[in-house]
Amino acid sequence: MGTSSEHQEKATRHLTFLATIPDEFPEWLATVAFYAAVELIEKLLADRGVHSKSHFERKSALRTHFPDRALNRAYGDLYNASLDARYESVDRSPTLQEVREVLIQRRLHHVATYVSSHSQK
Amino acid sequence: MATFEVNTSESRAIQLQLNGPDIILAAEDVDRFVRNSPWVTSTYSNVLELGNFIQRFQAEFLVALRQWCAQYQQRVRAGFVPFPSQHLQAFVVSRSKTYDFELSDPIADLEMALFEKGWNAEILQIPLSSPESRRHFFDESESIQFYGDVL
Repeated sequence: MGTSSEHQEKATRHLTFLATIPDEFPEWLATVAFYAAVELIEKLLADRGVHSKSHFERKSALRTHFPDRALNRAYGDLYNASLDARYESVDRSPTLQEVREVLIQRRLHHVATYVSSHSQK
Repeated sequence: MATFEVNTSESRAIQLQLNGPDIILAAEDVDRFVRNSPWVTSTYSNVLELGNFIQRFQAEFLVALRQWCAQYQQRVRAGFVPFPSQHLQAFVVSRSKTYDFELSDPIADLEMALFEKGWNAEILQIPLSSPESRRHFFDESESIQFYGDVL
């Protein structure tokens, strides 16, 4: 359980690391993008005094406190696609183009923008 | 010498019995589901509450999942609800051999719609793959198949 600023710090570190991952590892790009989103969502929740201990709790808390359709769509996609990227074989995982264009440039960007505009601190 | 009878039906996913739009689980399947679902037994320890949950689970949750899959039948091959250990989950097996981004928003919306009706469940998609690959996500033999043919 961290503070809002601690989650922001971790998110920033994840985003810095994300920028260093080469194209040959789309599964790791998807995974780190998701964990950056996790920290951003935790920051959003921490601002409201809410903390989660599991992915399921986090998704439930997000739906409860921020029932914004686009935000839940974006976070849900990052979660599910990164799960598949981690557990499916490489040829069944999202492609580099899908990861960069959909997960990072669209979904993660949406989460980051939403959190930035709704954070209390 | 003692002999043991292997109940082969217990090594497969529970299949639904359909009565028009209604979904019915056989009594022995309900028993198997409850017996192997720690989340159900810990959440509904009262017999009346459990009975009410099972009724709603069939009439609301499974029906909603099945109807959604039918709506997206062009992209969805099968659907499973694993016997819940910690929370309710459903897995949608797409017709695609890779993650289907076209299903992402509809799945998120389904999850939200169920949540608003009191069903706090996680709905996940997985690509069409081998039983071994699917086992990374859930045990098919410990699940209810609510949509599609046996894979």
